[in-house]
Amino acid sequence: MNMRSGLLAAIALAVLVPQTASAQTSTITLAFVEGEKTGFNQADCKAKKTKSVRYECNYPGTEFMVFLSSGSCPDEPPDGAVMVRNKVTVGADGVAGVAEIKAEDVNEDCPDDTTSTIRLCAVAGFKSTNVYGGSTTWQVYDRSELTLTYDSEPPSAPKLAETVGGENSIHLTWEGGSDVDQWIACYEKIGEAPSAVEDACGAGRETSALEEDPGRDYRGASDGGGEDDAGVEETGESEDAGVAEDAGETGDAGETADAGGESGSGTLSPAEQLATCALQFRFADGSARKGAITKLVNNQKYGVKLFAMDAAGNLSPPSAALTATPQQVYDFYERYRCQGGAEEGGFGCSAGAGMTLLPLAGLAVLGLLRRRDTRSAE
Amino acid sequence: MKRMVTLALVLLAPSLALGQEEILPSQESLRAGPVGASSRDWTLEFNGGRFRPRIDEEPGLTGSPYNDIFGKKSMWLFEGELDYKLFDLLGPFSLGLAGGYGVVWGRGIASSDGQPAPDTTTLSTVPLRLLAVYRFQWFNEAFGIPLVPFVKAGLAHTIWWITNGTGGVAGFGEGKALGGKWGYQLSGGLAFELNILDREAARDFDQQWGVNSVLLQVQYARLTADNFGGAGIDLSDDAWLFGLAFEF
Repeated sequence: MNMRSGLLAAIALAVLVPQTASAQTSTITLAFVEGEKTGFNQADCKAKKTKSVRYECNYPGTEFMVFLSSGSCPDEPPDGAVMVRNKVTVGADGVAGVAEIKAEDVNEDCPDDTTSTIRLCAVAGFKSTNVYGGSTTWQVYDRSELTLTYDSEPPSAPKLAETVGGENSIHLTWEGGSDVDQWIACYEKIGEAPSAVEDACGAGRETSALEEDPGRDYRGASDGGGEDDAGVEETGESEDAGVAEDAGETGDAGETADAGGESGSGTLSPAEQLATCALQFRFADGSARKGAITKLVNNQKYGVKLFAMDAAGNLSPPSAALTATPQQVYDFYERYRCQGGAEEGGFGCSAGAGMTLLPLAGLAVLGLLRRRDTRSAE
Repeated sequence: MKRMVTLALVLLAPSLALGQEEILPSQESLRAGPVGASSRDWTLEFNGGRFRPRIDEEPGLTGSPYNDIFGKKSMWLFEGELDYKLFDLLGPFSLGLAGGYGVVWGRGIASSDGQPAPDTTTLSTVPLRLLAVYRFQWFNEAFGIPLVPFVKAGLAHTIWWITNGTGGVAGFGEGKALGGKWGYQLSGGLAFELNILDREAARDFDQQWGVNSVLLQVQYARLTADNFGGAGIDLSDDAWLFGLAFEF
């Protein structure tokens, strides 16, 4: 009897639900509001921040609810579950809204070095009544889920493998973990700005050096493809960005700065160290292992250290600092001109032969087309 | 080889279909019967090859800048060409327009030690050509030999530019590394008609898309870009080009 009634109920559901829902694009959607990251870090947790999640259900005639679950999403909210959207009957226009998920819902205590997850569950279903026995059961028709994380575990400190000076730039190569969302280079000048003027071919070119403008936006130029991320605003003047001064030398590449990233910052957290860093450059591609800091001053020595930041915003300790000095680099055109090349660019209006031939070619084309037309007519 | 032909037909069919009013077989094509017998007014070619511009041969140069920056690398050149048949004389005499892109990458040279620096520098070209093309199809039509010798000649204008380490156009004093050079193209080559390998697929291709024949071709080309012996950078070279041609 029970088996039979269950079968009938299932058949009824199978027949009726598609009829009520089929006219719609039947979906349940859960998504972070654009720009939101998927997780909370410790600072978010302590600041009791929230994340906006958009939910939508287009199954008219069903009942729909959204709740949090510490494990996999069950059919119904467990006792004590946080209800994000109480059960509601879905009308012809569906149900949609934005829910604010609190950090404390994911991890209440905001502990150190911890990763935990919670699932946001959206369920649409029906109450099915046994026509013989009268018992009522909840039948899930469709569901969706979204995972939110609490992550206070920072990435490991990257290791700067090499820094090489290029034209108004320093090219970095580094090693680091895989759980990185972006890399942040912190750099500062070491010693006085150069007064030397470069030559176009070895002595005399007006320097193309650029003075850093404290208000400008530094943009990443990662070779790994992370060029689409805006740079960071400066965070204020730094008395000590962790790079010991070693003024006087130029042309070095990859020299280890005396104090590395820890000079005077042993008691500061990575976030505090970064906050004291006046000049920053971000590489938006977390999978990149090389990139270049650009718009630097040629012949000016710089100290550089690197931080890793994960998707939750946790910041690694800095790498040891290295130094490098941007230098004049001859591109192909400079090399060509310095070796006596006469080409100055332009589109050849002086090329009399070409300018004569072009109209002649046009006339020839017209003549040939006319000939074709004549032959076709014949 | 049959697979190659089929693959080529499948990959290139959509692009060939663009601009056509219908994809159903034309009446002319249906009447034609034998493969390749329908009218062939157009030829679309895709060619590629490598060439090394004669920059280091410019009179007055004290060094070899191309070799210093790019070493033994040649430029990669890829181009497309569309020819329109004007008349037949044992084969079509056509007028064609060709456009391509060539590029070579290298490292800048550090001023401090003269060694390669991490900064990239590139030389890019966009050759544009107006061509007269003749394909001698008599062997194929008279004896069924699927080989088509061809020659091309025409006027060329090659736009060129050089980038520096920041990716911008390089400069030197008042000069900008961006310009155009006039020249000409002379080339001769041989095409192999692939229809012979799978006549049924070729017939389908013709009926579905109006493509009469597909040819695999090689040509040896003199590509000049020196303002006909004028001063400045010389982007000329002789090169082998390989490609596919579609007659429709």
